Amino acid sequence: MKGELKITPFFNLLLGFKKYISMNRWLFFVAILFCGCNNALVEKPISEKNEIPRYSIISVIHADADYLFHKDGKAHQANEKALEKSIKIAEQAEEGEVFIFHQKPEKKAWLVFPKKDREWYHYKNGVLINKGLYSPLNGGLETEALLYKKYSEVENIVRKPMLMYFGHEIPTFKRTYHQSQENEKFDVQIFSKDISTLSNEFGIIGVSTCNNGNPLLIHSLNDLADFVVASPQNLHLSYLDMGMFRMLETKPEISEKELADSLALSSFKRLKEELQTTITVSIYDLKKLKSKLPLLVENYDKYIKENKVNPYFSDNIDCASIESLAAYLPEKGITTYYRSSAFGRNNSSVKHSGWGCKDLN
Amino acid sequence: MHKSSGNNNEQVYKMKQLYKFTLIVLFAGFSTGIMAQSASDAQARFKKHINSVVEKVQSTDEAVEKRAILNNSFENLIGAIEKVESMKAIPEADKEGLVSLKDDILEKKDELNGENGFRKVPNNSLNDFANFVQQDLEQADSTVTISVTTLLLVILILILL
Repeated sequence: MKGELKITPFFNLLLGFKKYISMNRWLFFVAILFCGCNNALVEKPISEKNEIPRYSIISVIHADADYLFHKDGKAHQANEKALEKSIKIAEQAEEGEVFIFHQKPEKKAWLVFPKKDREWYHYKNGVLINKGLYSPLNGGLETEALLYKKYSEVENIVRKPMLMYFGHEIPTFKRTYHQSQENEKFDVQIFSKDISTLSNEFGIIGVSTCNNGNPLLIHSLNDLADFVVASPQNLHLSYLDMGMFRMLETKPEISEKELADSLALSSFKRLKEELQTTITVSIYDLKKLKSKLPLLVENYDKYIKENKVNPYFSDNIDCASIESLAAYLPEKGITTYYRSSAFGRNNSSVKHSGWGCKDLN
Repeated sequence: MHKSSGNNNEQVYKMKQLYKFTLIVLFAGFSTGIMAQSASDAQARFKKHINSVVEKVQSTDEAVEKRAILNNSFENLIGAIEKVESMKAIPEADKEGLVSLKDDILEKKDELNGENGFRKVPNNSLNDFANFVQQDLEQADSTVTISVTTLLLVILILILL
């Protein structure tokens, strides 16, 4: 008949199905079921404790990338190890609160519909009182900040909060960082901006990544923390230690300076026992470095642009080996624990400035 | 034109659009999820390959055997990388990543054999050297700049060797 289209058996099936469920109703049902009502937070209160904490620790563990490493022949996932360490500290924190954010890869239900995969935990006085699943709002730490603001009692806590970040090198310039979310970028600027929404003042920020003990990242944290612990060069995936946070229980009067130093030194000692590669762990006293950083950053920026240095995931070298930068490296306000690798080109150096810079192409 | 056939055409048109849209969404979702998982798998396979070399080195007490295992492993890796590098379909960005990885492996081979300004790795340090190679490759995330397909090709050639 004129105007009548040829209908295949598949469309007959669809048209038949439509007799029982209208398309609009079906789509609405699917949207409700799988799109999470645009709510990134799923919370599940477990119990309540009423003592006000004396300190607050935040542990952010990136897991949306390859974190496999081997130790004595056994395979380990660096993010799972970091999660174990964080939970252990949280359970021992009888007078503190600990938030843990495990940034797992985003997966899809039925391979299509987004679901919440990241996990968060809230411990208070050593007890898990809240946990849930969430999805990121972007490539940074916005959702983590929302959760922390909602549940933390940090406003009642005198001691400044402490943050540990575990992951791969935070890039200098925006690029893909999360393997399951290629369109969401992450870099030093996003990191420092988002953690400033967690708190505008940290006692210690521990950056357990490769190569982030560099002028750009340290400068970006300038007004945010008293001390930063970071590695100016490669850091093994077994990461910095968190064990020294236990001192907040055993030695409540411990200063941020002493705690930062203990974190760095204990990590250095353990890594030295386990690894053949270079180990560099530095503590940056941001109050002492404040006046010197802008000039160093200005010259480092110039060096990167003039030499077309590749800033993407390439190993740092000691900034002191770069002639145009050596004069601008502050000596006061930085403590470095260093052991050169047993092998490789740079195994003869006996000291390190504590500043990591990208090498020329 | 009959009114009922007009309505039927409209329904068919809507169903066709829904069908196309579902396929596109399924494909996009499927491919993104699969690609992310594949990237992790490919990198994990690469690291497991390195681990198996380290285990072989440590399983023998003979220095000559340890050196042979390491040298063969380096040569196989370099050979696999060069084969993939020479393929026309490999993107330029991946070729840069492959060159970087190859240079890294070449340098380690030079050090093992005392070439190009390196002091030869002593016999009693070969186990430590094997650990160094593994730790250095794992912590530097040396394959992050290489796409999944390219990395899988390298691994496939390694398996076939």
